[in-house]
Amino acid sequence: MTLTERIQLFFGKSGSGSKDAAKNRLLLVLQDDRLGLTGEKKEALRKDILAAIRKHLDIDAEGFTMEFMSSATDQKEMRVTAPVQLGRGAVNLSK
Amino acid sequence: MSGRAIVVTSGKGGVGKTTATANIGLSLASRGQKVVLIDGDIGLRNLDLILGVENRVVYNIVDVVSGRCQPRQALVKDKRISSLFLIPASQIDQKEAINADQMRDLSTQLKEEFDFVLIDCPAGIEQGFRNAVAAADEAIVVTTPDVSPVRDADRVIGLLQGSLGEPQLIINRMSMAMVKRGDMLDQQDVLDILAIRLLGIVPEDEAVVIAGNKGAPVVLNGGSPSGDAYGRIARRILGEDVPIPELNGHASFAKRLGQFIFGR
Repeated sequence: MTLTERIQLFFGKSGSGSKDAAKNRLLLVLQDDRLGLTGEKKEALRKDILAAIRKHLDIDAEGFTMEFMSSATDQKEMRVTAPVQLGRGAVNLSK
Repeated sequence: MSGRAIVVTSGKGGVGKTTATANIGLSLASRGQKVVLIDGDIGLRNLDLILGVENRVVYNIVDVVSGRCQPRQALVKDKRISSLFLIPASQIDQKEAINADQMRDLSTQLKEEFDFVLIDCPAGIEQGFRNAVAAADEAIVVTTPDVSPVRDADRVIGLLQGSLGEPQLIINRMSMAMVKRGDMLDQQDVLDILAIRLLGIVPEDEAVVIAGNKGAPVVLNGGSPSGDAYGRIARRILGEDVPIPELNGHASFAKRLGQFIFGR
């Protein structure tokens, strides 16, 4: 064992810590499994949300993506993020 | 009397269901319980081999439910612990050779005579799974701390909650060295994800392979880490309050100081 490894072990750390990746990936995939959230449903949701926003705001439809994230601490919580790109009209208005 | 019928299931294959069934059964029987194991994996019979009774199989579960023999005739008695019996699976039939009602009836009949009916469930969530679950009142879910077994365990837990209520979890093949390195999900991680009650943790242990080679499950030879873990699991099933040893990889300060100074 090298000195660095010994120091890491002393502070309770070592290895590549790949279990965090395992846990995060599992939480994500299980959230979809439990909700029955298929790729198809996600795409339908994305289109509906995009249409809803576009009814009120001038946003860019190109590259509108939604990301579903589970919370590592609370399995009842899900976060959906969808960054929007403002359309040309909206940007011109704000000038 | 009416015994307890418990299905040992997992979704994913190869995580140790059959080994767990054999060891829990032997362990319960060695504590004076009358136990019958049912191999529910029709077409892929293995529990007889793990128990080391493969040479004494005459009739099987399909013979019993189809009326070709009496349940009593199909029971293979263990020569080491006299209160343990096995009803083997058929090796040549299809899963569809038995239906859920037949399994339920057989289990009801066996519960009259035995304290425990342990059903070794086949992998998957199809007919064989539904049959095994139909025969049970309680469920034990076995997983290893790897991504695909945990995902499949979650699916199975969801299916069980509809019929049998909350199952209990066994985490099998836990490697302390890998947990310490942060390269394996520890017990808390798995429990965070699956959110069910933990029945026990079985460490990774070469003795299981040797036991399989010999047809002599690990609980028969005291002193192996996995055998001891199955012993504790059996006691918990019997209602004893046996603490689960900390296997979460967080070494104590003294241990870490030792590692720092001595490098091991």
